Amino acid sequence: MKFLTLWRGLNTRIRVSIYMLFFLAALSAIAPFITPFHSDQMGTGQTLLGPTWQHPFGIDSMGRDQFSRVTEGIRLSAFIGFTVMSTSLLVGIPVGILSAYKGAFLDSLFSRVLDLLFAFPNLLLALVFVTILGSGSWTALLALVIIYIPIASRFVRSAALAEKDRDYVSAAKVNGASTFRICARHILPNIAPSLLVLGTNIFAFAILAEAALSYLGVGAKPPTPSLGKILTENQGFITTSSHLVIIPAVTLSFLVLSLNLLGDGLRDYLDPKKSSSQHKKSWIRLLFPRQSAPVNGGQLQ
Amino acid sequence: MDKTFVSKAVSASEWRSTPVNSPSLVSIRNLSVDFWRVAAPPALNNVFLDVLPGEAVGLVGESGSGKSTLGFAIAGLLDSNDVQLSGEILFKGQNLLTISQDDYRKIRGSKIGYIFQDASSSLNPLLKIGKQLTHPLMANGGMSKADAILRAKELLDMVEISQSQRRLNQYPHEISGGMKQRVVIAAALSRDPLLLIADEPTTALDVTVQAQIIDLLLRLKNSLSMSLIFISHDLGVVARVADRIVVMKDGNIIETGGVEQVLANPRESYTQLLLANIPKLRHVDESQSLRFWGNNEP
Repeated sequence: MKFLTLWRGLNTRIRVSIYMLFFLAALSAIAPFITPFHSDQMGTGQTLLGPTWQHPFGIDSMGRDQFSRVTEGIRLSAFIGFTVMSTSLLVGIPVGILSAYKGAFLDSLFSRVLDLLFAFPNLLLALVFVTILGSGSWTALLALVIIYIPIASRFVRSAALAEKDRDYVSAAKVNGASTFRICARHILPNIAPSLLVLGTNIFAFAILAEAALSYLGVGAKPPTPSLGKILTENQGFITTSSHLVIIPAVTLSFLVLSLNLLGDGLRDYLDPKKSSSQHKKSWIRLLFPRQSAPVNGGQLQ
Repeated sequence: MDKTFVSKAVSASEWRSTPVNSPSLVSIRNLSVDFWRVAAPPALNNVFLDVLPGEAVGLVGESGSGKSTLGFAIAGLLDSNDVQLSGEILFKGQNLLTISQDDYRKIRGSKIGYIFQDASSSLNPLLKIGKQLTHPLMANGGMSKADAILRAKELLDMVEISQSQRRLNQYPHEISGGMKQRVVIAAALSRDPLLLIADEPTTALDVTVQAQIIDLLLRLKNSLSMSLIFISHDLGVVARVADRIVVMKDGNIIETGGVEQVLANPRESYTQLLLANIPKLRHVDESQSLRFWGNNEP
């Protein structure tokens, strides 16, 4: 009952994005059970086949079932996105809050380290890692984590800086609360809404970045069905078998779009300044949310 | 604490010569506060102030005179990264500026209460009132949860909040501004502090509620026999609350004395100015008032 009330109170974008994410999750979860082909399994006898009932997304140039590859790719993307998001938040939250709350030496130390990491262009940093550690999904993951930790830390720090001078933090201090308690019970919960939005954004961008790295050939190694890798492998056949490129590309966009919609919807939902009233449900409003509604229908009295 | 001890107003010559082993609860000696990052005169300049047990001291002065900074300094809310503190703040003989952070935290948690100006922002919006009252009790007072809840209810009764049991489960946004200030007072008093610092506790409230809160503060101060540092720019309020008035200007204490003495015979010209600036109801010219109310006849 409580869940239903909460669900109805969410705005359309959040609900639609949850439907989209649920669809992708269900698709990649049931895929191994509905198709007998493994994503790496070659030699189905045919190559470059269009969609059939047995192979819904067709067969690629090496005779592998594209449906199992794409669904495997969704799983891989989700895993990488989630890992990057949780790791960067796990490091970024303590670093950001401590650096904001403690200030002084600790803040300078953390900030200079972050500056150092910020100084490298993202892709260049990833390439450096790949050169040192060799290419592969795990290297790409490590590079992405190292790219997103400073972004998360800096975001948390700025949010915590605004929060730490609020009176209730001072009040907790006078009441004898310890530093840990102030950070964990007073500052963190009050910046949590914006961290939720940050988390979904990092999730989406990490997926895109991993696809980009794999597309450039520095991410996932050949048999791994990363969505970016599938695009590189099949780009030569774009004129003859365009479905081999279009389907993974659309899947990737669909995944990132649903995460961005979720982040955008959460931002509005958690913003106390926006009215939570539901406007008329419309697909147009989904992508073009109504700006502040004029009072009296915009007419002068 | 000695409950029979009630101080009389201490004259200016007396307080300056208070010996070090005085009965003062708080004894501020030669305190200077300088903000590193601002190229301005120090926020506090060699301030001396003694607060006796059970005494109510009213700190008055204009904005920027350093009265809030003095309160912050005693409560340890000034960040040593931002300010340079020199001098001594003796609390029951212990110098708060030299003891360890942990000891300071314990003293703050058990012996000093602080009431902020804006009650709505001094309560954590995400924690229920009950939680905000019981947490410090359990963390610093070493109470069990059940005891802390009983004590919280008792505190809400003490600050005259109705339906205290229900309030414990409410969030700050569910109660009125005056009630929030009462909750803040309850939180400040929860561990029976020896010193309560009230930093303009009534400024954000309307006049009726102001009067109620001040009455409440006075009654509590007398019944709990604690010292009170009442910071305000409202001389009328301070006159009701304080035993002694300390006038501050530009980080200096420029005049101090009993309420009657300072209000009736201010020595400093600045205090006279401050007194002269209390808004009064003047005789209103009949024709002017008509025009004011929109009667635009020439």
